[in-house]
Amino acid sequence: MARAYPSDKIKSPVHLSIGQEAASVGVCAALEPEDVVFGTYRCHALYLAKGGDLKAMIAELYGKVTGCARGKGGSMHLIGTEVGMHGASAVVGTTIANAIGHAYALKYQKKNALVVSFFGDGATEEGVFGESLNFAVLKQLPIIFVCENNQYAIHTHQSRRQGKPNVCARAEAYGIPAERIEHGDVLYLYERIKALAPKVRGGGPHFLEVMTYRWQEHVGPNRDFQLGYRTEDEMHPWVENDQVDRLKHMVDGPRRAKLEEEVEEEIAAAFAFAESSPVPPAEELYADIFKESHS
Amino acid sequence: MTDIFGEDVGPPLGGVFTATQGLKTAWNSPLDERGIVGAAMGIAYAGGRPVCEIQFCDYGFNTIDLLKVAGNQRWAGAGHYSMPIVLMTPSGSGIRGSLYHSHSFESIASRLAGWKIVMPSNPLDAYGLMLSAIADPNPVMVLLPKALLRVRGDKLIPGEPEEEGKLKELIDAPVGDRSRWRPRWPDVQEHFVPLGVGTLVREGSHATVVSYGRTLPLCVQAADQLEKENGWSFDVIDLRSIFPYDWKMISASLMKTGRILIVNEDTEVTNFGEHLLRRVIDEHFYDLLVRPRALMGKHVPGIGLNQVYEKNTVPQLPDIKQAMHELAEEEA
Ligand SMILES: Cc1ncc(C[n+]2csc(CCOP(=O)(O)OP(=O)(O)O)c2C)c(N)n1
Ligand SMILES: [Mg+2]
Repeated sequence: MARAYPSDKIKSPVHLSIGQEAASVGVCAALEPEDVVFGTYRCHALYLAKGGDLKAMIAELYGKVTGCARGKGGSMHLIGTEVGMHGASAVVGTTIANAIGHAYALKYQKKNALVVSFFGDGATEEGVFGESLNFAVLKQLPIIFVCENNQYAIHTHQSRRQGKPNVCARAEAYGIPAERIEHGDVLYLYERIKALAPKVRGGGPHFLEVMTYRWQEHVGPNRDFQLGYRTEDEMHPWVENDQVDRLKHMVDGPRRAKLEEEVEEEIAAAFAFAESSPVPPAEELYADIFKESHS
Repeated sequence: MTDIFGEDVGPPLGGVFTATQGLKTAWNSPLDERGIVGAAMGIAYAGGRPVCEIQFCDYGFNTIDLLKVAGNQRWAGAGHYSMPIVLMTPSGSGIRGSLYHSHSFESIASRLAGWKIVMPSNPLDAYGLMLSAIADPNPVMVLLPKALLRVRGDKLIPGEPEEEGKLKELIDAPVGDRSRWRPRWPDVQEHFVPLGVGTLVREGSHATVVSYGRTLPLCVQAADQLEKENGWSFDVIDLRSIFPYDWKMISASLMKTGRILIVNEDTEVTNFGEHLLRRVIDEHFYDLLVRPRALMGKHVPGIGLNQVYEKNTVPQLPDIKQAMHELAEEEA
């Protein structure tokens, strides 16, 4: 995507997940199909990890009518309810409360599923964060909170925004067991979710702070170290510790080559699909505002 | 008190649109809009005059309760408090921002009694309205059209270097290490645009067009084209202030032309322009030569990413030109 962006065919601003894939992958790989996730505008990795359709995603970024939101939302609003990706929002914090409501419904419908709510470190400063934690504890909901802590909200470091930059301590203060996963260790995260899921399904929230690092600029395809709010040295250990690379080296040479080829093909096909898809016709403007009611 | 605060308004960039770059009193707040508005009110209670920012007006919807209180407080407290706060926020479409970076805010804002609301259409007015907003002892919301936040105006701020690019050189941070960079402010003079006073940007006799913000320059372009092509001339009023608004100017123009079109891009149900139409009908029904009109944004939940959605949702130059054409052409 970062490579394709300069062509200006991607019509959407993009908040790339590069460097942060582990949080989505480690969690989603351990979930069941009927489990549900809610995310943020930085949702490419989450959408794909939960099984979202790559073609519909790229078409959405192109603003095409074949996109998962019919070209209305773009990168920040990927949605795939058929795979339990219940949406992302450009408005920081909003989906945390929605995830709570969904978990409440699952519990009272006696479903055996759980909800995972993904959000950034910045989102924990919105009032809705605390409000949602309180509700989750009060109702002992089947929800896992995953704070993807990349330490920045746009250009401002966590320590310059939070008087007590310890997200887990705040979750614990509300009565939710919380743990921090250093280095964004994807396999450890997977194991933790596997172990936690049965307990959470029975009711009772859990909180994970997954440490991670955003490699690209806040929004856009490039690096932004020239702005001076963070340094390349700070990113360096994260690149060394790249979880994509780590998994890659766990697969033997010939199989890896074959996998890489298949993935490249899938990506090329998705871009070709997006390019050849039509733009939304004018009538689409009023489509899907209301559901027709049949009494 | 000259604090300017909000999400990322301080270093390194001075906000998403670099509007506060290099200002010494600009500082980054936590990511919490209700906290920002509420804190501004508290600073004002303590005698300060803060300027706060909501990064995009799209994120102001969750502050409505506090905005409501800010507008009420002086009245409800029988004048014990004043509330000299300025809230600035980028508003409207035009940056390909899709659903949550394209909303307008002025119609909702106009329902918050106790607030003054302004929306400039060019840099000089933005400067003049901002200074007046800061000087005003009441809550003032400065809505900055997102689409115009990077344009250079025809009229310069007094003291602004004439040479294009020079200002940029003086006050824009360089690419690369900026830790030692300081802006070199040109010696600009104060310039106040009074709140509540519009300006006649084009003077004509056939019809009146009232607009502000992003659509204003489009109305001017359409007027110029129609004058050339059809010989019609328009009064184009840049309202600049949405509340209080310059009814005198609208009324006087209407007495001259008997034809009026109101143009803005906020959603049409219900729109501040409809209030103006109601007043036109109440006070000028018998002065009208043809039915009064308003061209506004469609009543859809947001602006979709694809430009087909955006073009069909908010007025564009051809829509405005066509509406002005019909207004001038209709038989009286
Ligand atoms: C309610 C709201 N306020 C402000 C913004 C503007 N904004 C977009 S992303 C962002 C930073 C969010 O940081 P974080 O939650 O840490 O997520 P990250 O971008 O680091 O993944 C801000 C302030 C927004 N989208 N929504
Ligand atoms: Mg962050």
